[in-house]
Amino acid sequence: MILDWLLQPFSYAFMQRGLVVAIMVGILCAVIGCYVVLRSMAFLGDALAHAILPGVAVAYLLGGNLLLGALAAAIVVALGIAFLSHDGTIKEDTAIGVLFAAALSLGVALISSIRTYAVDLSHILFGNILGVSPSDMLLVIILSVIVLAILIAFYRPFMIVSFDPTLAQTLRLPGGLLRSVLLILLAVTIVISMQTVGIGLVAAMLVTPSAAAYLLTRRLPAMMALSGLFGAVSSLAGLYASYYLNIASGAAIVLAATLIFLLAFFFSPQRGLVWNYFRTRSYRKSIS
Amino acid sequence: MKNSGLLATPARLELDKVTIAYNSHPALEDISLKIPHGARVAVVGPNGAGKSTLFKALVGLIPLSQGQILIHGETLGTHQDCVAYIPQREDVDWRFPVTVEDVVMMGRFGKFGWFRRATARDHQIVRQSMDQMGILPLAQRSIGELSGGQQQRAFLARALAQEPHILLMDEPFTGVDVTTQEVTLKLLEQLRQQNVTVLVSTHDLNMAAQRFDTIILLNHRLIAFGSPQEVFTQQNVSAAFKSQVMFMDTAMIVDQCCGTDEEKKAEP
Repeated sequence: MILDWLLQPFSYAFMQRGLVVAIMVGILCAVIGCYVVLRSMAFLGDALAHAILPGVAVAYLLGGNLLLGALAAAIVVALGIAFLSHDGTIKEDTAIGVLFAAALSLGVALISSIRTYAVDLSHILFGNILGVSPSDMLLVIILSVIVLAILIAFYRPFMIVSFDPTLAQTLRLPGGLLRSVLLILLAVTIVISMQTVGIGLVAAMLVTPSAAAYLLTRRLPAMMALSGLFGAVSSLAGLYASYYLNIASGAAIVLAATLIFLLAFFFSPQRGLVWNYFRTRSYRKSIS
Repeated sequence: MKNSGLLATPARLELDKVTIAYNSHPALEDISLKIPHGARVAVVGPNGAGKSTLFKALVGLIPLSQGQILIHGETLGTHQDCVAYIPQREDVDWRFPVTVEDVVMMGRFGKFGWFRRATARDHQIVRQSMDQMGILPLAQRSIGELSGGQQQRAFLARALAQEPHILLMDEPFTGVDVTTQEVTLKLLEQLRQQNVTVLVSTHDLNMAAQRFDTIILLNHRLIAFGSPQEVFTQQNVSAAFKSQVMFMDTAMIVDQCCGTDEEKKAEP
């Protein structure tokens, strides 16, 4: 009975593909999202997500691969931000603000010149998890595995450079190179998330599961593992909600992740508001 | 370069006409000195004299405008892992999810490199370093939960785990508890036996005179370099501290509470 309820949505091949891609992307976003949260790169992630729009539009107009177009645009904007802010003339968040709005506008301008733009734009903005083709699925799996492998293989240098840049310099770690690699991995992650939650909501998938995991763990490997789990669970729960309640899948996934974050925020054993309240109250009782 | 903690050759640290400028404003000018291996050196001078700048230059954090720094007779950068630096508090993200043990293990990275995992020996050195600094019971605590003094001891333990030839400490005695001060001073004693060169910047001229065998007195330029008796003369100290110093008979009083605004700006 319950098993039926659980299995029924996935009797369709397109739902199976959607499930695989959603869980893969959920895990990937959540794991790289730990660095986004710890290095305060949330705004950059959101900006990169919006910056891929002109790339998608150009690829569409030229009849090329949309994912490659998106990736190229994301990397160009990431390098542009690094260039504008490299000597400190303007701050990084200002450079992000300027370039991301410009890229988004360029994307909208290009897409509005395409006749059927309304449909395509909403797919790019909010995802189209049920339209995943078998070749898309394969590409998502391959890219996710590569990005996760790099993050795990270079876990220690990434951690040192994020925690203590001075030590990284003393140890002669290439800080600039590591930062660029992280940016490119982030760009790849965002591009493959385009199909599940869309560029409008990808920032939430980067930040929300990792922020919840941060509240519950005290070591980076544990934070990444738990964050990945939260990402996968959010994707699964979101797909069920989408199927049975007939709501947009990307939004349902983000809302599921938000629910997990709120539970962690209020009930975390170490930092949760609720336990802190009871601790304070019992302490007050004990002294009165 | 791989190296064991102890060195057979009498190596040294040399500065040859080192000048460092920020936006063409010189922070350090024409500093030349030779420090023998295993020396304990206190770096003193007023606020903004360029003490932190000197340390950052020694670990390669700031490029030199002129001159060169030689370690064991080779230019800076040739050696991968022989200088350890205790950073200032502001440079570290204390909310980062790492335990004390993780932080100390980071010091071993230079030894085991990009593709190897920590060996039993790395773990043993990390435990020893934590034990030496009296923070072994705190090994599994988050770095952010510790007191300021305990955090500093965790970073000292990390520097020990690096097995450095030269250890740089920027103001390790400022704003820490007495235990940490004592543990730090005891560490200096042990490091001397291991032939490690230690450079410590401090505001405490008494401690510098009593606990260190060599003094570098700085105020943008090298005012004096040598034993405490040679360096702490009336003439040198007034050259370095200018109006902040007052002499009464044989006593010397230096007001270091606040440098002038201009001096503060000079040090980034």
